[in-house]
Amino acid sequence: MINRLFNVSLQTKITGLLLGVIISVIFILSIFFAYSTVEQILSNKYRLSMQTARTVSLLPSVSESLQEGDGRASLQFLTDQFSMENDADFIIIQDKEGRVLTHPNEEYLGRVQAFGDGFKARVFGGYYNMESDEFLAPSIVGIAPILSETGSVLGVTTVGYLKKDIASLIYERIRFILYLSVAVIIIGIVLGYLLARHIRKETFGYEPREIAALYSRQDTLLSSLNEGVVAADEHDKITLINTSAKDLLEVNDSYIHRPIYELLPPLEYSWVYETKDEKLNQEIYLNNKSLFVNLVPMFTQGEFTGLVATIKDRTEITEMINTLSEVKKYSDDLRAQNHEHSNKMHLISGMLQLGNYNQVLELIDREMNHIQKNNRSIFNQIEDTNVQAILIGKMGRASEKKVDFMIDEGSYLSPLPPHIEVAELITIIGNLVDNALEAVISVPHPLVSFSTIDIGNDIIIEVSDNGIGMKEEEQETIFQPGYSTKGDRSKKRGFGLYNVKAAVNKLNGIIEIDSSRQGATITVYIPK
Amino acid sequence: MKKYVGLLLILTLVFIAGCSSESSGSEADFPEGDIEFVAPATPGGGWDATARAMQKILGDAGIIEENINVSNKPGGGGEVGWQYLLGQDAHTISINSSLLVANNLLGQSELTYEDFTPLGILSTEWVSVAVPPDSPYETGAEVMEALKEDPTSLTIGVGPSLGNSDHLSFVQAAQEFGVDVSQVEFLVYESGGDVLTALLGGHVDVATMSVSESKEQHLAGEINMIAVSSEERIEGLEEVSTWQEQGVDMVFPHWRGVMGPPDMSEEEIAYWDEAIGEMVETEAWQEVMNNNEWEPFYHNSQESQEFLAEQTERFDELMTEAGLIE
Repeated sequence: MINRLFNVSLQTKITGLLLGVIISVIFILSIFFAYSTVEQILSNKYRLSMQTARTVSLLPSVSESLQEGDGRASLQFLTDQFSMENDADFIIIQDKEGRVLTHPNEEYLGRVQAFGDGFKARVFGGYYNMESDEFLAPSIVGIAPILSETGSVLGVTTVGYLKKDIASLIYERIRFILYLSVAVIIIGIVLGYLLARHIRKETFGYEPREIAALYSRQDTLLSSLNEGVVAADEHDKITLINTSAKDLLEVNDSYIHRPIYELLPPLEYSWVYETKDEKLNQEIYLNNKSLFVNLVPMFTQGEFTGLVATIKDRTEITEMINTLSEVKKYSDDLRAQNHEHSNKMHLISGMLQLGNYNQVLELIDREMNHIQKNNRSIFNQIEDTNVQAILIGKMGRASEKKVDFMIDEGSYLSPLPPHIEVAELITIIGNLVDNALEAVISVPHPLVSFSTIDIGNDIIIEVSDNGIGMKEEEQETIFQPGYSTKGDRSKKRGFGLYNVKAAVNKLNGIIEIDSSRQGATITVYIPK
Repeated sequence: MKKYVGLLLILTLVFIAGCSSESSGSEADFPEGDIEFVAPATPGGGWDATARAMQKILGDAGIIEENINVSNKPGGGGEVGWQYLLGQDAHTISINSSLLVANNLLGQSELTYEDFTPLGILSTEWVSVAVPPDSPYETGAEVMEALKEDPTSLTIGVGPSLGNSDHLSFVQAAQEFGVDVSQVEFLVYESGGDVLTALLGGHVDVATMSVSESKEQHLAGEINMIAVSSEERIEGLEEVSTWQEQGVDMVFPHWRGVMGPPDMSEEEIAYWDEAIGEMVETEAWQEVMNNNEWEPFYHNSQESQEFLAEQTERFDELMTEAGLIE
């Protein structure tokens, strides 16, 4: 029920609230004013009637003419004068028998009016106010005794104000307050309407709950995005950073309300701010990540209100490409193995046709030995199937390249812990072996040996070659993206060792390079 | 919840502080310094006599060890003295009487008993009605009958002002009889003595005055007392019948009491209750009563409060015409 009551438009809410407040305030104030006005008018009349009655009763000429029993005309003249001066509706003087001596209405003169409301004055000489309807009409009266010098009562004066006149006077005053109140209420309605309209305009006519829904939807949307989103207002202050952006840029919410160029390195913001045009695919390199940034201006109802930067992590794309190329290499490696195998089968079939059975047996023995030697260490000592697969692939590749690929007989590897993913493993082992194969391509008796061991807290992977080694400065640069010993950089190569470094970093491992003229050894330590 | 507990605690503390600051005064050692009795009249009247009797007895009996002064502040039927009392502390108390009630009802004073702290009603006089010895009327009832017949047939002397006990008691009796009081001729004299003179001189047919004023002349045969407002016949005036005996259900005390300034503390009120309560028990007080034709009429502070409220209501009824309609 209450919910239903609040489930109205913003317009209604604001107008209702404003009106509620204004009307209550006005109501309270009006009641207060009306009350004090009435109070004031009444007490004024009370005071005035009493004062006039007292004054008239104390006039020496009044008590004299009562004692003498004459001079009515002069009394009437006197009271008329006092009525005029004090706006009193009537001043009535009665003698002690109750005979009316002065009266605004002539026909009442001389009539005897019993003392009802005048009783206290006539008998006890009391001075008092009361509401009376003894004379003319209901009125507020002040009553005073007319006393002799000794204090005996000679008569009674009654001074009155008619209630209907007082009521109309009160009504007059209150009507003014009412008009004022109505005016203020109308102003309140207009203001409420304008305010509500203004707010609606600012919110595209959405109701607050719709805005809330929109906002939460946007929030969910933004945080579910893989792309980083940073929004800035027209004064280049950041207003929003989504979760992905926080991860990519490695910041938290403290950057909100700070200038956008503090968060992102110099891009052409000012250009966007000036031309109100978008700037797409700017590449920046930050925190060991290569990022693509799009700057798009934001318009609200045709007004430029800021810009949105979307940030794509290029590293991911690169990694995807790398993984893809690794997989390609495998199929190549397998093709190579297949080729080797069919070559050998041709050789055997040739020998058999020639009848060289001994040579056939020799060849098969040699092959068997080689395979057994390698396979023993691969299948008996290296228990992780992924590593097995990688190594078998690499063996095929090595034999195609006529490189001797040795797996160290002391290698031992239990199945790897789950936090080390296949992709990372492929990246590390694959790239290291490929690099070694590349390094020995031009030396006599090329040899690449691989060993791994997981005794202790670390998994240790070591790849050695008998190439020409690396220079000092080379060692420092080989892990940078785009480094390659092979030709120019434009061909998007040279990410191999950079990727190894990234994968090892991710696993909190370390890389060591040991290089001499007789070749290089790269060792990777990965904590379990 | 915790918040409210805290708030309550604070309020309670403030309240306690407020209370203790009120009671941490020096009331434990009240009174400290001179005591003042206000007689709101010139020396020689009932108010003055009451104040001086109290001063003497309380001092002599050692009930109050402090110095007691009586100050006369005459004017306005008690108004001057009572206005003065408003601004004093509990060391000052004043004599009062039914005028405290009547003055306000008759528009002659803004003050009511509620502006003060009633401390006690001490004594009362009774009101008598007297006629000259040669008057045709033998009883109060006969006078009333005549007035009922023709309200203007008799003049009644009263003093010093309309609305005092003498006047009120006569009016009440007349009303009980069904007299049209608004037509009765009251002649006002400046004092009780003047009323007596007027009666003796034949200027008025009937006079109403306190027993102490009329007793001597009545006993001397100069005037004839024909009714008293007491409950029972008065000692020494056994031949005068009460209004009640004459068929008017009315007892009208002309009482005198004491009151203190407004907002007295419980302790101060208790102090005066004890002192006055002790005083009215003394031999000396009885003697004062006898010497003045007064009667003991003691009410303590609490009873005085109720008595005054009841008097106010009664007078108000009497003074408005509504009192006529039974």
